[in-house]
Amino acid sequence: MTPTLQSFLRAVLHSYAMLFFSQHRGFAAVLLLVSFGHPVVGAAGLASTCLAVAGARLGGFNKEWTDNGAYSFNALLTGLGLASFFAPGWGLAGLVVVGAGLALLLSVALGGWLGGRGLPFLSVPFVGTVWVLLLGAGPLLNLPAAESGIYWLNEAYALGGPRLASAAQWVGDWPWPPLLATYLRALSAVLFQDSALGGLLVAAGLLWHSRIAFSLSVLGFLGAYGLLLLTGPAGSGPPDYNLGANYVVAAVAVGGVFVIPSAASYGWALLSVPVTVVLLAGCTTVLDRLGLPALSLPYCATALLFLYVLLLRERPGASLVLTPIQRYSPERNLYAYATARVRLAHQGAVPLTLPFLGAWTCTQGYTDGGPTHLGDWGQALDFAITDADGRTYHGTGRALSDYYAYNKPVLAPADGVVQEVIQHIEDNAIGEVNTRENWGNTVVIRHAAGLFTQLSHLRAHSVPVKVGDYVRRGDIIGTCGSSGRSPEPHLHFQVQATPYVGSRTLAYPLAYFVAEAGAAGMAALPTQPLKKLKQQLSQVLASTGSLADVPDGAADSPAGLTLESNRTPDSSEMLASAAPQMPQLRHFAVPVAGETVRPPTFNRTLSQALRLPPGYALDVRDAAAPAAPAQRWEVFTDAYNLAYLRCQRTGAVLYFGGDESVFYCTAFYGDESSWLFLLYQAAYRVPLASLPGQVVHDEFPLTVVRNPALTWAQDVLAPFYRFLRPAFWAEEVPSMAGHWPGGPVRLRSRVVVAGFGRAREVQAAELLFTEGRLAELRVRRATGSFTLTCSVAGA
Amino acid sequence: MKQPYERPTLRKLTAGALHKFGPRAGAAPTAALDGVAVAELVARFGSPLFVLSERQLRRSYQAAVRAFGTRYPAVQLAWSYKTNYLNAVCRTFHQEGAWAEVVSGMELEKALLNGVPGPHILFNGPGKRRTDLEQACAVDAVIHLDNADELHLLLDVAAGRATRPRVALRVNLDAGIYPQWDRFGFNLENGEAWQALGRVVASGRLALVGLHCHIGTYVLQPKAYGVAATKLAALARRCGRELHTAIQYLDLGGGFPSTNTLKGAYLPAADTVPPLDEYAEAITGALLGAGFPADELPLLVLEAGRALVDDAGSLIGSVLANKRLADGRRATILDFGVNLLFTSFWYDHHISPTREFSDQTEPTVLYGPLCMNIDQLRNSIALPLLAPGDTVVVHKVGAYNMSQWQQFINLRPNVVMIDEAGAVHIIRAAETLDYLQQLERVPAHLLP
Repeated sequence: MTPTLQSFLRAVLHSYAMLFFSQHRGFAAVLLLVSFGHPVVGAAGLASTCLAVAGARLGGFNKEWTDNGAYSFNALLTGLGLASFFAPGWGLAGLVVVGAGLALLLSVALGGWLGGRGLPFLSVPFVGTVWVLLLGAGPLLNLPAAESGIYWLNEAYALGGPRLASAAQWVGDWPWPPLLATYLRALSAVLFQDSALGGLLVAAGLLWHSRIAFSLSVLGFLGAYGLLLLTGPAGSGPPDYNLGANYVVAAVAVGGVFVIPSAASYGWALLSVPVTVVLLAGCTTVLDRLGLPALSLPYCATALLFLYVLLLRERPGASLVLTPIQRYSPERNLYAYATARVRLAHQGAVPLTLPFLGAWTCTQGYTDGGPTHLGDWGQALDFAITDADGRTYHGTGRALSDYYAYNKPVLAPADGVVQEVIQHIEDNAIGEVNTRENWGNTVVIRHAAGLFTQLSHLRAHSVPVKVGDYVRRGDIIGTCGSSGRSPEPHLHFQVQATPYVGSRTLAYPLAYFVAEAGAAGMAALPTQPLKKLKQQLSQVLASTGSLADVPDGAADSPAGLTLESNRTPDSSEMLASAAPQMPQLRHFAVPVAGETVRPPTFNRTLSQALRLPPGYALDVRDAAAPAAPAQRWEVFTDAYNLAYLRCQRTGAVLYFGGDESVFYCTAFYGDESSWLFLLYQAAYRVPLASLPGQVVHDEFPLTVVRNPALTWAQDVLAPFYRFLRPAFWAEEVPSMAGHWPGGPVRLRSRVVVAGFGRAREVQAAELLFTEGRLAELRVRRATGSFTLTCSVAGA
Repeated sequence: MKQPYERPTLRKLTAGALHKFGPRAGAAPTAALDGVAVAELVARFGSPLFVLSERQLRRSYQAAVRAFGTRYPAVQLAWSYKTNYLNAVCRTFHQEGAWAEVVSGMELEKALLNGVPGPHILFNGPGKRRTDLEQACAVDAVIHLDNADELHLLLDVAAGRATRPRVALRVNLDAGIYPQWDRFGFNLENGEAWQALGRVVASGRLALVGLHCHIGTYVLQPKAYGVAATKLAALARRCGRELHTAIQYLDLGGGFPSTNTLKGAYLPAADTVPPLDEYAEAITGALLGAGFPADELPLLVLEAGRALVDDAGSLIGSVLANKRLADGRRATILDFGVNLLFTSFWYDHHISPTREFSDQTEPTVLYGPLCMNIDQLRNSIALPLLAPGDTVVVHKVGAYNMSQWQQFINLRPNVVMIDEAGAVHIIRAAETLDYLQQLERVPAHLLP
């Protein structure tokens, strides 16, 4: 089979699955089979789908939407619908061709119009097409109405003889519980069938595809059923199976597909039921006068309404999250979102780095007890250099130059433009503060609209940049001094949204740094100078009551001043309990008081091997069969400039991201038996800085768990509670040979699924990086061991 | 309480310039080292006795890392083995993160036995033998090439190897100090260094990873290091540009002074020696301004020895006798001499008594116990009137003494280390006659 034909058939299958927002080909096959419950209807649907897929491909419309059936499922519905309305014949055939074309055109047009607004077009094109054809073509062509819906046994007889007819009759006569039968027939009605057996198959397929979608379909159905029972005898009784599909699909769409499944989304889905009920009743009444069926209009209207209002929220909040990237499975959407929310929370943030070189101690963190960082000015950091005894100076500590921090370079935390420079204020003598020029010598840098950093208490006349200069991250913008409210040399660093010196602070993380709980920590630090500061502070407070650095918070409540005395026991407790802690690489975090932080030194081998620029390709071979042709993994970027590795053999795709300090995989799509999947699990997160004893943890989406019984149970509960925790560990294998920039690096990683208090290893891997590339990947799984060797393609 | 007897002295009045505190009279005693009483140390381990402070070793190392590391993004110290290669000292520094700088096959072995990974050993020295080079290649140490003959020998050694030995080129250059040290490495100004670099790269058998220079020892001008760093950085950039070889590290050598006063210096070293920060400022300022792209700054390697270890070592000794010389000067004979305190050839060591004395001092000549005229520790030092049996402490003797000491006339004494908790460990036991004779062989015809 040629690849073109293969992808064509795949697109056709996807169109079937797309009826339930799925890309599950097994489910699609089930739907295809069920649609042939009425062979003519099924054939018309299939033909219409094929026509639409072919049309979309010829028309050169969006390839992704063509391939996943988004453009053709409306044609499928149209084909099925037309064949159910009209009797077979040349007229119907012509109508199907026209319908398929019209449905395709409407899909593309609506896709462009609604897609731009972040909304799906659902089956609106189908409704429109069928209405147009019913109104226009019916009278025009004088087509006979279909009868197969009524005499379906005849068809079965014609197709399979008496045996099939009797089997069909037997199934039809099976004493289904009425509630179940109605539900199943409602499901089958999506395919224009009216058969409990067909519905059963669809339900099984839906369950196979997604437990969450299945539970939502039941929820929607039961909700509508209950509601209609409540409305009493005046209503039409239990929902008509034909239109029951509206509740089911609306609930699935609103509760699980376009919204990340959660308890709230289930509530939202349940809330959609009465709306669908009312809409359905209303539409039916109005449309009956026109002689038109309501079809799926109520569901489309409800779903679009419920999604559009979510889209218009100004403060979206944490519940009812709209699916950011559609993965065509509620489970995948949920698991990917749940992990990405934690792992990729920093995406879009400007990467700020430490504004100095070497190890400094954070002497005052975010409002966690500092004497001066209070109220709106609380989200600021103070740094000084301390020695192993926790002192910030050598000698007597009476001269500025005795202080380790004094005159040390201060760097730009990110690229930006110098917004403000003050450097004329003389440094204070030790122990004295200048409250008049509170911030002392200061540089403010603009990094983005509404994002500024301020670096204060610089040494007088030490700033080599001027206003308007463009600075790169790491450029020296001054040296540390002791001007302004600074009793001893230290650096004040804050992020702010406004460009002024002394603007209120903004909590903003630093992209990466290495942190170590301070050995001597803060115990010895705030002695003389800070005591003096405290005295002066209280004097100033008593006399004027107005302070720039210590605004409102401190002025209203003396609590700000007592903070320091409160802190002392805390920090000594912390010291007492502080085990010798390993330095750790932090990613998008904020240093806390007492921590010693320094910029990481990056491992050259890893940085080079995992940079993976577009066009870079690796040839991967199985070490057991070196003669076999290599698989090629090549780096591409998509329309959003997100980079991914694509396996040319299997078409599997591995999305990755990262920065100077870390490499991580963000998503995997495609064949999980592909070798690329092994890499996804083995190199899920790789820190690019080598630290002794560093162990990296991360969390996988639940989709990596392969035990069906467990995962199915988890899937059902997932919107409410997750008991399975697939986790990732990685550590560098300490090499006896010692590190040398550019030397080989060996990483060991594990994937462990924890649940019910025990952990099971899914994969253990060892990655070898040499000469700036991934050289070898050894993987041990329950299914076997692999040793893959990689070489740079074209090198 | 009865005061101990001190005999009367006669002394010419040489009052210095008066200031409001008056002249400092008497020497402040040093009764304890790192909290351990000197008397206790002598009682337990005898006299003379070398004492090393682990705390000070670590503090000195951390201070050096801080001085350079807060000014430059990539800094690595390589502990200069020859300065003091007692294993406890080396391992303390390695624990702090130091690499090893060795200058002979023996030191290379020693570093390997101390657990230093081969790639973290920098092999300096002008006298490498073929076996040394083979060993260095085998463990992937970096060989700092000193001369053309060594280069050719190494090319020969490298010929059959699977991996290219990593080398750095030793460069000597005019950093503005006199006399210029030109005996180590290839000269920069006359083009010898560039020629050698071309040869190294063109050979294809060696991996050029670094450049090294060592401008001198006890260099008192930080600016000279700035000049050396600028020249070395320019050479590294030229390597990248013209030889297409990225220089991974620049090794500025050592030679940073300690606060020991050189003989003949007019003022004490504490007043004249610039702090390490000034050297760091000069070197890092030159490198940051050399024009390297921000992400291609080479690693800065420093081979500090003296600056890391000198302050941490002390030598305790005892007075054996006092005598009056013919010219009337007072002389004191101690139980250690130049055999143990080799650095007294170039330093006026600071020596303190260990108990309180009256303020009366007398210029004294200090002699060691050797029966050699050269065994003079201080030509003239103002000390109180020490009596036989009194102990003295020589400060800042950590560098070179414990590697350049001699077994001459006397055996070498105990060396102890006081750890950070105050516990005292023998790190090298006193030698015995057996130890001394262990390697001796007497021909049979001389035996009875």
